[in-house]
This record gives sequence, structure tokens and C-alpha cells, in this order.
Amino acid sequence: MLRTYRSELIRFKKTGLIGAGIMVAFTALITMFTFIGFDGGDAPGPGGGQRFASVDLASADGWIAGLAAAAPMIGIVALALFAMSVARDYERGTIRQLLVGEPQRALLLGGKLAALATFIVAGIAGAAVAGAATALVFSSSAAVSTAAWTTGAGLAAVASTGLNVLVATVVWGLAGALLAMLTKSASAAITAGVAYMLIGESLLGLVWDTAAEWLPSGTLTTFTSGGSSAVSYEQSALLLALYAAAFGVATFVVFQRRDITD
Amino acid sequence: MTATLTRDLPTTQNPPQTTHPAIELNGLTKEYGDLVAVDDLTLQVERGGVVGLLGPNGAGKSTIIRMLLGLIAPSAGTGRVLGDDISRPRAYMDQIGALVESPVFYPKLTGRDNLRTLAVLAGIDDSRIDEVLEVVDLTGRDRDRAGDYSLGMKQRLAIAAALLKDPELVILDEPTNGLDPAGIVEIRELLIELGRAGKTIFVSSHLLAEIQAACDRVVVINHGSLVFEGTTRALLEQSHDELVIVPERPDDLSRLAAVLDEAGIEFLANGILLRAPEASSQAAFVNRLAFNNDITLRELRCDVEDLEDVFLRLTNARKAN
Repeated sequence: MLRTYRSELIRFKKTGLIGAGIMVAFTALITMFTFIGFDGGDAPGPGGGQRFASVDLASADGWIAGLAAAAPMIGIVALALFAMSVARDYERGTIRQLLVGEPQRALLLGGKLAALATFIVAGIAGAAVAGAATALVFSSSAAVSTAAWTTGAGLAAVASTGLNVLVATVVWGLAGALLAMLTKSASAAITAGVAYMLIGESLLGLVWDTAAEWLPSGTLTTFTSGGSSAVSYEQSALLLALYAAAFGVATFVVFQRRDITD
Repeated sequence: MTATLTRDLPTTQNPPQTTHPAIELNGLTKEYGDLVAVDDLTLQVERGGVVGLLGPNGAGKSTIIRMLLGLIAPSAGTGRVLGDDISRPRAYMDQIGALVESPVFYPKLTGRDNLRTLAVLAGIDDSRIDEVLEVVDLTGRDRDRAGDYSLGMKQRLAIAAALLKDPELVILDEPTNGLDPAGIVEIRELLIELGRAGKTIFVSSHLLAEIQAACDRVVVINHGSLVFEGTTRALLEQSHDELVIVPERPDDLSRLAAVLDEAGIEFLANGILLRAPEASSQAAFVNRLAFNNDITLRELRCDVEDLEDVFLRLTNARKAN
């Protein structure tokens, strides 16, 4: 699998790095918007939405709050990256060539997904740095103390938020891979995934009150938020693990059993 | 390109000492719903040399190649490649180089990087990339993006990719597609050279002249079934001939027909000429007969089927069946 991993790193380097760059840019931007009115206390923002109080920025997880807020966008980028990597090999016909090089399909797909996960890790690490740097700029301009950031609680917040976002992003990526494997089209997979993420699940929520508690998008949000009043963090983690396993296994099974006629 | 072949190709001069044929198919069948793409195909391809896979479009050539490479699973039957079952392609794939249908690459990567990804995938040293690039004459263009290559260059790159593993068996699907005449000759020479070096080259093509020029043996399929298997010479020996006889004066046609009939030569009348199937060896006799009966012949020629005619006849016959 190491060979397929290295091969995929070479092949997908440019797109993967662009994807990671988009994650970084999104996070910086979202962090900026998150803290743009941080000193507004409890007063609503210009659009009537919630403003972050200065205490948020000064809290232990203040420097990672941007990454947490950017998690859904990072998820969309991951979904697109995984979908493009998987589907484009079908669209171009390069899947034939890859399977001549590595006929063990599980190894080929495993290496591919591992390489994609590497880009995701790089993207999230970069996004965390970008979010923290943006938060630092805001804190210094508003003279907010950042002493809590480097405490044990602050470092723990970074680790847990980073891990949560990473896990959630990989699950979105696996969903993208499955959609791409089923549709064999990058655009169809990305459209279906993003439409479901942004609209589909909300519509399901209208007809099924508790849908958001257990459907993928809602579970991911609950997980990255550290749990909700209805679903605990542990429950969401378990549910997420089930979704990850279902997406991953389904992708492998489809790839393993499907004739390569493209 | 030819000058570099002997330097770059493996030095194996004798076929490997093994009893396993390169390809062995037994009742291999592939069905897509009601469509039978490959129908109970049984054949054996011995090691060494260039073997052509001939068949009209839709005959099942690519399906056979895909089954050999483990890309699609057969519906029935068994197959072995280099002695290993096609249900376990990993057992033999490190000895196989292949070009399946059109050449496909990552367009934004250079030709060299495309080969590098495949070399890494197959666990091959980078130095082999330079060797195969030289073999296919792409050394000067290897740092250009593959997306900027002409179809001919992509075809060469695909052949380079197929040769990366220094494979025992090279399976090429229409390798001369998109090449100019000089490129076709170069690829043909490359295939012959590889065959002489002890490799087995299994090449599908619809260019019959190419098959005739490059291949020692031929497998002809149509509608997924085997139509012919044997040497190219044996296939050509299946060609039919006919004697075409044209009298100088059309009025003499009926008299000429009567003379031939009396001599026991079977013929078909066709407008102003007579066609005598399988009578080429009797040309001199027919000429004398005509002369002795005061009939001047404007034309007396032997028409012999070429590979294309034989191929069309075989495949049409199969369709009729």
C-alpha cells in the first residue's frame, strides 16, 4: 500500500495542495468573520446574527475557534477532493493503468485514500495555523489577553478541536469517495454531496424532527461542536464511526466487485 | 528509434524455460445481460513472439484483454496468464505490461512524471524510465505536460508505460492508433524486436496489414467466438483464389463459357467476364483453350485473397452462422 500511497502523492500533489490551500484560506476568512465583531459583547451583529464576545477570544479555545467554525467548509473541500481523485480515474480511464500497476484493488484504494488523508491533515494543520494567526491579529488589535491559549486547557482544546475537525473531514471525504465510486463522475459526486450537505438534510429535517440528531451532516456538526443537548459527544462519535465504516466499506466493496469497463 | 532497441531491450534471447503458456483460456465467457461479449472462448498462446488478436469492432477483443488483466471478471470459464489464474491477477501482473484501449495519462503531469507514478506504483527504479523513454523516442519531450502531447506521442508514452516493468508478456490494445506511417513502422519494429528478445507480445489491432507484418501467430475472433487460431501463414493459406477471364470481344463470352464447361472448369458468368474459383493453377491451360478456339483474351489474371479478404470472409461466415 505504501507504493500506491507514494504514487498517489505524486499524481495528486497539485490538486491536493490546492485543496489544502483552499482549506487554509477558508479558515482564515471564517476566523476573520467570526471575530470581526468580537468586542460587541452580547449585542447582535450587523446582520442580526450572533457576535462573539471578547471572552471567547480570550478563552482557552479562542485560537482554535476559527478552525471549528470553518469545519463544514473544510468538509466540503474534503468531499470534493476525495470525489475528484476517485472519479477522475474513471473519467480519464487512468483506473485501468493503475490496476495494471497494482491489481490488488483494496491496496490501490487504501493507498489512494491514505494519500488524500495526508493532504487533509496538511490542510487542517495549515488551517489551524491560519486560524490561530488570524485570531492572534484580532486579539492584539483589541488588546485581548491570550494567556489562556497556551495553558494546558488551551493546548487540549487545540488537540481535541483539531482531532474532531480531522475526523469529521475524513468522514466527509469518505462520503465523497463513495459518491464518486457510485457515479464515476466528479461533478455528479460533488454536486450530490454538497447538495445533500447544504440542502438535503435540512429538507429531511422538516419532515423528520429528529433527523438532524443522527443523519450524517447533523452528526458531524454535533461531533465537531463537542456534543449537543440531544446527542452527547460520545454518541455522536459512535455514530460517526458507523458512518465512516459504512462509507469506507461500501466504497471498497463497490470498487472490488465492479468491472472496469471505462 | 530502432537503433536504440537492442541496447535498451532485455537481453533474453531464449523463451523462458517453463511449461506454462503465456495465455490459456478455457471456455471463457463474458455476458452483459443478454449480450454475450465473449462466448465460450478456448485458446492457448504459447510464449515468445508476436501474437495478433484480430476482430472487427465489437468482436470482444478489449473484453478479452480486460479479463486477462483482471479488470473485469468472467461470467464463466477459466483463464490463466503465465500459469496463474486470472482471478488472482496479482500473481502475474508484475510480469505484465499493458496498454488497454486508448492511451490515458494525467494531463497536467509531464510524460516523465506520469511514468514515475506508474514506476512507483509497480516498485520500479526511476532509472528504468530513461530506458523506456529512449525506446519510444520520447527522451527530448519527457518534461512536457502529457496533455500537450499529440495522439502519437501519447501512444508512445503508453507503450513506454507498458514496458516499464520489463514484462514477460506485453498486452497492447491497438498500439498503432493515431500514429503516422513512420510511427507505425517504428512500433512494428519494436514489437518484432521484443518478440525476438523472448517476450510474448499479444497485440490487438484492426490494421490487418500491421498484423500480417508484425505477428507470427494470429487469433481471429468475431462476436466473442474464436474464428481462427494459428500462424499468420496458415491464415493466409486459407485465402481463396479465382481466375478472372475476359475475352477481347464480349460476343465471345458465351463461346468461351461453352469451351470451359466442356473442359470441366467451373466458373461464374459476371457481365463481360468469367470467374473460375480456385482455378489459378489452370491459367495456362485456359489460355491455350481460348487460343485453340480462336478466342482472344483481353485479360487473364489470378485474384488471390489477401489477409483482409480472408478476415472478412471468416468473420462474415461466422456472422452468417
